[in-house]
Amino acid sequence: MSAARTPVPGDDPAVLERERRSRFRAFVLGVAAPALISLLGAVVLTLWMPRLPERVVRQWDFSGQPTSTMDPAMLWMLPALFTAIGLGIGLWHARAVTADGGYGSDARTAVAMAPAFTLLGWLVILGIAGSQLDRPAPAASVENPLLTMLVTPALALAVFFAGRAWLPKSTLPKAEPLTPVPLPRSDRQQLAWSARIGFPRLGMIGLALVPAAVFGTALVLGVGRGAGTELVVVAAAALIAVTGVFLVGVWRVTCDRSGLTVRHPLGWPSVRIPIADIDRVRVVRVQGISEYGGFGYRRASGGRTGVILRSGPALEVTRRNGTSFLVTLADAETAASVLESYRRELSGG
Amino acid sequence: MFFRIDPDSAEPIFEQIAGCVRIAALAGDLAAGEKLPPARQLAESLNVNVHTVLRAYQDLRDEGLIELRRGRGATVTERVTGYRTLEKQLEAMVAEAGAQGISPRTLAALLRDTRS
Repeated sequence: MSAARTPVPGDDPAVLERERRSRFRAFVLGVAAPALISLLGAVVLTLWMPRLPERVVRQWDFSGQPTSTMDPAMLWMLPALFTAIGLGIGLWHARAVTADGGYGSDARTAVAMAPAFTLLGWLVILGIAGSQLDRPAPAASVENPLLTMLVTPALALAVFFAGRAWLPKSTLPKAEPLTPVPLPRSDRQQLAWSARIGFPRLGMIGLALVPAAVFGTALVLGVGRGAGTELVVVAAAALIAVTGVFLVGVWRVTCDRSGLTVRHPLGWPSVRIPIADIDRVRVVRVQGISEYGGFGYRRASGGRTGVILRSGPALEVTRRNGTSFLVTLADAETAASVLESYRRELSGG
Repeated sequence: MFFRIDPDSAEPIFEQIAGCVRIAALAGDLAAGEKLPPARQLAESLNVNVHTVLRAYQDLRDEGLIELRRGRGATVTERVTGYRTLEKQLEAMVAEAGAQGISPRTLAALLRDTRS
């Protein structure tokens, strides 16, 4: 979390005070609360470790019968993963204080996710461990901690909504969509706009490090303890997660006489909207988490899809069938102007 | 990055393409490590031969603005930071020329003469 900025002449003292309050609350929610929850959870789990059986149940079927077991050391994995995800998302967004000293919808959601994710991870694991304390093998004697599984999400949700409400809300009005100005062009002149877009480099590294760290932890905890199957599962999950990050994290966007093309450098996935199918082009501002539930290739209500890599300006293209596609771009205005030039020429507008 | 080419211009098309990249570098729209569009893709976008784009990229490579590597495409080099410094000096020069009543066209001609 970055420190409060140095005031400059002309700063409104009320806004500065609001900004200070926002950053303090984001620190409490995004750093202090997850750290405290993790510390308490770690103390309890450490104390419980000697009282757990050699293999603990990790999965139950619908009738409540245990279906698989794991080494108790693997219990550390889920809280570690959830804490890392919560902290990463929260810290990244906590920097984004708005001009009026508050937080936008995305930042409030992301920061409030930090303590909620951490709490969820720890309560689930402590619930599983707590139900198996002082139980001898076989694992079939263990009951399904159903209550834990129902209560913990509810508690995590309560923490999330309370935290979100506690963060000062930005009252800046949402920017109106912008209709691009077509670029003047002679018949034979050709216009094109192209950019390679991606998650911010630090974000990519952070996203890739989380599964790598999880696998590393699993390796340290699991080697020599007969946790071969778990290690393979964790390694596969980590590999899929890292591949996923790189698959949705980098795109080439092209706007030209043929229309809009958004394509992964490997050629797939790819989205192509021919110029003849384009009904409207606009520049809009999107909130990735609030409007699209996150980042990457996303779907939202009303037939909207998009490649959303950050919150901010985006090129919005509405097809003739009414569905729309968005892609977040730093220079969305120029990209939109190129498309609008060709669209108007084709439609005679 | 924005490209505009005019087949009716006296300036060769590969020069126009290279010029678009230089303008983007001067304007701070390019960062070191950034990838330029693949030559084939840009050629399709601009309706020109792929060798025309490759010729532009080779010129940019020769002046050190980009690196060309097989399979990795065209990557902007650290030299782009120098372009940004140059932009400030050019702005000052244009302002000074304006103050002295020298038109941008004349200034461009002076620069060309100085270069030659």
